[in-house]
Amino acid sequence: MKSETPKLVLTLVVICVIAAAALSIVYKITYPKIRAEAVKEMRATLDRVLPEATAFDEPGVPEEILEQKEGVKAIFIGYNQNRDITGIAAVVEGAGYQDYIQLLVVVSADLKEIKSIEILDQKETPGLGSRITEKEFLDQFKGELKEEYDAITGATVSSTTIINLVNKAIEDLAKIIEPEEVEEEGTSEEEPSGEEVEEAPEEEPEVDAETEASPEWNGTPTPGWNET
Amino acid sequence: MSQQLFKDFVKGLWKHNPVFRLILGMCPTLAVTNVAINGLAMGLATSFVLIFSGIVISLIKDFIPSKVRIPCYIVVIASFVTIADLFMAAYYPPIHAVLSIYVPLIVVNCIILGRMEAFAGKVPLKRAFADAFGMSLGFTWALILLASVREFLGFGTVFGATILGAWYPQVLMMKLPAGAFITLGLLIGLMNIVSRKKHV
Repeated sequence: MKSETPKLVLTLVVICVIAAAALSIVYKITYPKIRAEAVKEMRATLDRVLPEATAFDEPGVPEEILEQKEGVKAIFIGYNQNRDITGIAAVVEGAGYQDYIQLLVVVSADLKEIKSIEILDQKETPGLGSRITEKEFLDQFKGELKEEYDAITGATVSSTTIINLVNKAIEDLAKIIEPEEVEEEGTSEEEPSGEEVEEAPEEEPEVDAETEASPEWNGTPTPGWNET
Repeated sequence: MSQQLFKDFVKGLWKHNPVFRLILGMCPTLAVTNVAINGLAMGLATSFVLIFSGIVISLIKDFIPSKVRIPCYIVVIASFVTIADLFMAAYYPPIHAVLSIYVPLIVVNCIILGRMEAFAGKVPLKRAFADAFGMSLGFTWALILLASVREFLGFGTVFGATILGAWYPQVLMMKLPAGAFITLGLLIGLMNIVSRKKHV
């Protein structure tokens, strides 16, 4: 009887080691593709929400803002050919009814006007909470900032989350952008060019190209679009 | 022998259909079947896991002491689920995004562990494969049928193709889990009627 235990342990260890090895190989094979897919998707979204921009810059988000449970997780600044800011896109995240909701809030350079709102990720109840992705709901945010927005009937929690996140995005952006803009008087010429991501007309699917172009992109711990 | 194999294969399609007969794997069945394409994707992902786990477990069954067989099965199943999850994320991101949490949850789909315990862990490779293949097809068609009915009643479309126009008042209940329970109950009832007539 006592001799059985080592065999049990050994069997489990062997199976687990083989499984772990197989999984790490599959992970290695698929990771670049998953990564590239996420980067491509983000770039496509940015091109859609900021069509006038020819180049994007991703400045890091300060620690104290990243640490918040709800708030801005990443920002992208779009520039046109004259190096004027055409708009700022902020990824905000917060708890919805079912799971975290990830939003992209696109605002004008002075943070006074909302250009558009996009839902990046949501798992709300289909048919009820998921109606936050509808155009009619999201379009009400466009334009100058308002005091109140309408919620969707039957989806109060999901709607309120979006409204709060939009307000939070503006609040966080003010903290991130405002001090930089003051500094920018002296350093604006050199600063963005170093971190800037030149937009290629044809997106290369190779992840290496993207990684080299924007090292800070991968460095930012942005939960959501690199999740597996 | 080949007759035996055919029997192993065919029983999953109707007589022992995992969804309509064994009533196994209800979590994905009820959760993701709001539109037909999701049903198809979930069916294929589950099939992949079921077939490969069946093959591997049938091959290694002689080395596994019966006391630890369940943990061993689960490790094998979980590995294949993770592989399926990673490949879907890499090559079919839109479908992966829709199925989201239900892909990892294939691990706890009781059809898979059930077939491993009842079949693959006891029979030679050929029979295990025939069984897993039949069960996979049975599960997939059941999911597609269920999802098509719900999509038709809930959205007026099937596989995204509009059948009932904008005038159709979409039935919210069919999009929600309650619609899955009701549709499943009715389909099982319908299958019972058909089976009874066949026997007479």
